[in-house]
Amino acid sequence: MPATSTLSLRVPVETRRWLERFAKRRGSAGMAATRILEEAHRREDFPAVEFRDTRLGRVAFVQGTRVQVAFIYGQTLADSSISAEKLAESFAWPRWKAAGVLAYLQEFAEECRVEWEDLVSSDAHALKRILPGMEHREFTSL
Amino acid sequence: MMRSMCSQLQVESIHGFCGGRLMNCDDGMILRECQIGKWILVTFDVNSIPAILSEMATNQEDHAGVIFVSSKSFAQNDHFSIARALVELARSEVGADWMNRVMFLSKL
Repeated sequence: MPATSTLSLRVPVETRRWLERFAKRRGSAGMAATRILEEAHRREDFPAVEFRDTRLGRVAFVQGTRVQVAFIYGQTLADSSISAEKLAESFAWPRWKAAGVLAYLQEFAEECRVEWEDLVSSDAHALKRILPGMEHREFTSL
Repeated sequence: MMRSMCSQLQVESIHGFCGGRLMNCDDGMILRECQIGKWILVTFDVNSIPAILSEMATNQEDHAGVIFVSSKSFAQNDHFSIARALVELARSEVGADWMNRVMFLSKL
């Protein structure tokens, strides 16, 4: 847990109302504001990453794609020597984006590890609780 | 790759679907566009799409079918294995109605 300090802000009334609406799904307005600032900070440092709402809360995605950063964490587990060039080639991304994602993974490794574990634990059994009618096809010979 | 494995299948990536304008759109909007064109959505996204499907079911809103690909079984850039699984699935489902069907694909 990084060290924290208090910051008081004066914002327009409309911004405060927006923040309170945004906070409804995220605890208090203070927690939501902290999250927004943290995301803005990370996006400035890592333009290859953006954040979106998911059922697990706000999650990092590769900018302009539908690929969760945690997926790339999973790739690095399978191939610890994966380079920006290789990643860029396999996803058809520009090299700067692949390099940025790898840098983000290095900086927030623990957070990405937890998100990866959430992803792989979302197996058929877990999803059936949300979608009881879901079918499951398991291949043995691929 | 899928087209070369099975030329009868119509496949489109989200980058090309609807001219790419849905790339950064809300997942609900993507599902609704798929429903209009009767496209089955194939996705690794098990975090946001299931909640939307559940909401659509509650609202009695139809979708054209969704296939979740297990990220535990398939790497997202392992296009060959994903394509093979989807082609195998398609061959076993010729003529099937996918309206409101949801399937999870994994491998042992």
